[in-house]
Amino acid sequence: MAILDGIDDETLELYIEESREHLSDIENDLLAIEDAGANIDETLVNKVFRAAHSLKGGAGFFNLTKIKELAHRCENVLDMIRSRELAPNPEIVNNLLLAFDKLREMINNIAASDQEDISEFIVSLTGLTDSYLPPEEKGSGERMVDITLPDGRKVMEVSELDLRLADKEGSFLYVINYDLINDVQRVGKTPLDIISALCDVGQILESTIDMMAVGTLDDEPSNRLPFYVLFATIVKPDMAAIIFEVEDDKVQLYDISQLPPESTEETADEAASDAIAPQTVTDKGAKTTKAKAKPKAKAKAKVKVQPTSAAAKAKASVREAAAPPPKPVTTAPPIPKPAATIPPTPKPAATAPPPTPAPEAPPPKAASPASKTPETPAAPVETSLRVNVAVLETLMNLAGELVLSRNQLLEAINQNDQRTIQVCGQRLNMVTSELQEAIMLTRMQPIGNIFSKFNRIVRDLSRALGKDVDLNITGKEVEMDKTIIEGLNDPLTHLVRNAVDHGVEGPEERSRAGKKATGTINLKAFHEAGQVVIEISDDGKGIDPQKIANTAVNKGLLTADQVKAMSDKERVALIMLPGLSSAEKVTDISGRGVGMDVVKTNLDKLGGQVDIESEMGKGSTFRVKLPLTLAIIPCLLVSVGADRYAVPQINVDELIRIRAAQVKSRIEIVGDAEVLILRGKLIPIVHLADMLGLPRTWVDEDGVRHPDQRNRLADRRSPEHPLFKEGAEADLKETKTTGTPPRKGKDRRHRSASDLNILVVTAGNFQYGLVVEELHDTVEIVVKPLGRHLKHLREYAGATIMGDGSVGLILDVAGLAELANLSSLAGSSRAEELESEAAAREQYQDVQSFLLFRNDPTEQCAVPLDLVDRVEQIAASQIERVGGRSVLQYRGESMPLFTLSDVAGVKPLPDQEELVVIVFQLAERNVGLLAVMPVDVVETRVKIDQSTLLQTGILGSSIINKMTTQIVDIYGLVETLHPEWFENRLKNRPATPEAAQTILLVEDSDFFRNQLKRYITEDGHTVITAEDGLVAWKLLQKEKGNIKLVVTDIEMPNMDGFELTQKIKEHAEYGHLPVIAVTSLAGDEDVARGKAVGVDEYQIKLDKDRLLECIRHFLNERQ
Amino acid sequence: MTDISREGNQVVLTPQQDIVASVSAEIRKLLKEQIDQGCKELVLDMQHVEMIDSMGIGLLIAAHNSLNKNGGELKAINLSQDLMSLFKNMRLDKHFSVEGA
Amino acid sequence: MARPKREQRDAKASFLVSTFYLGETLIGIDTIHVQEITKVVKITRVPRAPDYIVGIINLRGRIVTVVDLGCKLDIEPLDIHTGSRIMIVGWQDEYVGLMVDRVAEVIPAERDQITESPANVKGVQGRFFEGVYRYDNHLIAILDVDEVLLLGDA
Repeated sequence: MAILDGIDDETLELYIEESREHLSDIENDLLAIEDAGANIDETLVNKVFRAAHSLKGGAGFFNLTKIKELAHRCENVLDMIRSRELAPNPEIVNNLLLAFDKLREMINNIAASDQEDISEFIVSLTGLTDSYLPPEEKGSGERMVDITLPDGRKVMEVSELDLRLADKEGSFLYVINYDLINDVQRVGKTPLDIISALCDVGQILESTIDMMAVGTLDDEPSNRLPFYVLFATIVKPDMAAIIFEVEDDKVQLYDISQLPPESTEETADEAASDAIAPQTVTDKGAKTTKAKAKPKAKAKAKVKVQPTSAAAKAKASVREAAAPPPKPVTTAPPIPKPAATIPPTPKPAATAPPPTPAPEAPPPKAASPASKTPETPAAPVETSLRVNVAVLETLMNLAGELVLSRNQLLEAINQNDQRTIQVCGQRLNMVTSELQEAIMLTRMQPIGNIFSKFNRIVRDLSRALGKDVDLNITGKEVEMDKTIIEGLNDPLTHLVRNAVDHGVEGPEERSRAGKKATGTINLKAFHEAGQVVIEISDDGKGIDPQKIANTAVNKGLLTADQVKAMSDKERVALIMLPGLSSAEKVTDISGRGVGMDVVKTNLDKLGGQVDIESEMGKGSTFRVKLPLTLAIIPCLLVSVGADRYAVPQINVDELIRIRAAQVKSRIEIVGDAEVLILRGKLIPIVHLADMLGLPRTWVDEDGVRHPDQRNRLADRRSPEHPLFKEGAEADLKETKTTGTPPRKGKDRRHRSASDLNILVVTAGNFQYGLVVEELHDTVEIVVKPLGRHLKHLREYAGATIMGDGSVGLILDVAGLAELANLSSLAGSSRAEELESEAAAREQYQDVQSFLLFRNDPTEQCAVPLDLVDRVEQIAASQIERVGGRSVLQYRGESMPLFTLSDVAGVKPLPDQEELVVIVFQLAERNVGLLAVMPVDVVETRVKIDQSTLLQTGILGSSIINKMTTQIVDIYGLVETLHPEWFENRLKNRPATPEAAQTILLVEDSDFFRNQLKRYITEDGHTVITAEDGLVAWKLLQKEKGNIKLVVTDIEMPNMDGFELTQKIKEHAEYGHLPVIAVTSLAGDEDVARGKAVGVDEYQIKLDKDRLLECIRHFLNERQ
Repeated sequence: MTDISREGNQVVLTPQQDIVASVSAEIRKLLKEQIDQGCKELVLDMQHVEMIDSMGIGLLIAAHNSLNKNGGELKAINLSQDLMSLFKNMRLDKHFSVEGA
Repeated sequence: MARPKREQRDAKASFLVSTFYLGETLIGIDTIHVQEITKVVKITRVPRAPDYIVGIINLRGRIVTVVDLGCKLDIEPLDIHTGSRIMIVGWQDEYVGLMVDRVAEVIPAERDQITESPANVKGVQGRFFEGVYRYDNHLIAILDVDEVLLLGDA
């Protein structure tokens, strides 16, 4: 490009970068300006003004004429806003937005910027300055004014706007008539002297030199060379001639008031005069017209506008509908009417776009091209990045450290100084981690970078759709890796557009639904569990799951049976299926061939997951979970056979280990697929070995790997189910059961080898279980791409270099699901049945209070709060060792201390000074459990998984506060260590089997039922169990007089504890039976109600000692 | 005092000093000769010109007018920043082509 | 399938050929493609990959796909032994490893003396070769790397 000749790239780069920066904020600033309306925030307007100004300045320097011109026009408009001549209404702001968009586009493609057609923008901006000037000033931007001498000769023409602007700045306008020969040459000056002098005190608006007065070379040298200057200055008339160094009569004050408002006659007159053959004064063909300067219509031809753009067309069409029909060229524009909603058109509509409509005008269709803009300019690929200086400093320091450590290491290696080598190794390790972190920081950018543009999108789109939508943005400051932020742009835009387009209803519909007319969209980013969550929620009409499901079936994407088996949530999630669009008619806005499936694909690429929550009539929330960075991700290592694979932690919801003996009860067959029953949900399972075509193996207790028997039973597989081709269901259970090594005595710990390890993973919006052979550590890995020959394998997301230098493959959880042809549970009535059964059970989950603590900073544990006496903070130094046991002086006695690792296979307590002692009262004494902070109390509906992590001292596990939490069995723990403390209780046992009683235990939770049954059985009684009151009632009748006591839960499905108790107490035959109610949380109200129906005693579920004592008490009483 | 080079129809005049009243007659003569000889494109290389006075301006305009009459054109090149500003402020750039250094 | 061989190279130019064995078959490759030759380090197998892919290796932090040339050329799958080598070749801005049985010498060759490969060279489909070159009584088939690594057929 010639225009860029001689300018070094760096300077231009700087200008481009700076311009982008200026432009990046403008959108929101303008929207804020629009919001403020007439109540102008000058700082803000000034900021935008300055941005336009510096764009213009730089463009001038680089001779980028189009950018300069457009920036200049923006500047003019902003200047008028600043001076409160123009109230920033949506129309004005819209035009500015469009113009700045264009500027951004030109900056992004700077070399071609001069080829851009900006006339449309110029016209609309100039139109703005026109239409909002007082009526008589309208059209001044394009209208030219003749400047004439006192003798009536026109010497030049100048833009009326320039005149008016100069006037507004408080300048005087002068027409100075120099004779360069007599006034300049003769007094020993040069023209440059004159011009420099003038430029020092004002601005030359226009000038002209009388070319014809000179003649040609053939003529004698002229003794006259007239030079006329239209000059704007603050110099007052009485000083003018002196300052300009000319005689008084050569200076003429130009009075702007002489600019007449347009009138029909004059314009007609003007038009007539146009027709008169002009007498040439200059070679440009300017014409001498009249003595009086007056507006002309001529400029119309100068700024020729082709309404090619949609904006211009749409605008024109609005105008045609709303404004009076355009006048023919020769007629004058109408005189402004005070009540008119549309400003009068100063020029015929046929030749130039009319000025913009007044604020009251209906929302212009012009908004749709505006809404289109965000995707039209190709997103500039940033080649440079701004980095916080502090981060850079850190990097420098770390680099220094690194060099230092290397030198020390080399030295130590030379000396063969093992100790120093070790120290250096540790140091290097630390520095590397820090360096990695710091480098990652440089890639972190606030998400506000893309959030901010949504103000504009929502505004434009809602206007185009005639909706009223507020957008609330929170969490702009949340930082993410720059690649992720870039990749988020499209999917988020789509989601936000959808929220406006399909989510939020029109104002009438909202009013009818009893909502406020203005819809709200919340865009929110926040951190959660090491990830960033972005939520786009609207209070619109929600997504109709049935409609989505029907569409999916109609389009042949799913069968009716499949859909039938789905939950509403799963149905809603179907909108992300390729080929399904929920919009009934394709609108302008969203019908662009991009569906939700593309959104999902894009997010998948970023390691993101989408979750949709929607309630009909209430609104929808799209929740996108994203990793902070893509380059390094935490992964769980698993293995199949001898090969290790990495599974991105983000995909892993939980780890389930199913003991061989439990496989049968935990794994169901639905249709022909294996499913895992997990807290009332059915989760399809897939064997990783099968997916990878590897033989299944299992590891025995000595760590020896055996081929799995099931493989040999392959012939019996049903061929039409490739998913489970490696093992038919029955075989699996059989093998699992037989494969279990015999348990050893009372040891409740299990060898994990033959158990089933299941990773519950989420792929997109769908959960499944991935069966692996072994679980290993969680590691942070650097993701590397696979070569072209392997790219097509959807099983893998990439590869990584492991700690030992070998290569490990990273599994693609979503890809595996697709390959396994898993959709959310293939429909069958059994699935539905199981699901509803499970869901019913779910509802009656007890609310339980837990004390949360950590055994190790990474290991969260919980004990039922009711069992806890006190929690004390102590220093490690306070612990005394007495006879190999830890004790603490507590309330005047030596309290024995335990740690979880004393009995359970957990990490040992960290070696630190601040500890926590959780004090329990059991076996008639205080005992303390050592733990570390943080300690917290939660009240939660627990779903305790008794099979995972089950071992001595641990009752089971649950997810509390999004962490896997081990529920501590404090009785089991203490009893294992000090069985003698409990001898007392054993003495109370019934001496003979005859004395043992049969007790009916009614409890819906498997976990509590098993626990309680164990306690009571250990105490020597026979226990009959029932899942709910109804079952209990039937059992009671069946067992007749056998049952001596009833222990019942309160909250249960079908028949709750109150009802059961009432039935028992009211019954002639059973009325005498003592009923002990067990609850997790006994509120006073409940206690009162229980007593009212006849509950004899309330006990807390896991308070073993008291419950047993209570049972003994009632039984003895009976006897 | 003024270098002349010819290339086809184009003649480049390179005055070696300022274009001011004292030399205007001489330059005027040179210009006229070139135009009379049928030069259609007259280029004034201003690389050595620091100043142009009113007479000089008049001269340039006259040259322009002459050329214009014959269907030729005047070009001023290598203008210093000052001269560029002068030409632009006088709107001479609207009449003939001017190029900065 | 047979694509035009790259004839645009200067026909007169001489170049070097790295030769190697697949079983008993002597094959050559223009050294211009060869980045380095490494011993067989730990190879991670990639389940579900095409048969001719041995696996992937870590080449100084880069993940490199290793192709069993014997399998790819339909000679016979290679056994990994101490003599096995992986020739790292640059291909479409990535590195690919070609596993061969034994590396032999590097010989000079003249491009204009390469003759069009027949439909079948030493039992291998001719399309995998740029041509054959006679050297010291040996007939060396010059591997067409692009053809060998062409995607889309296993």
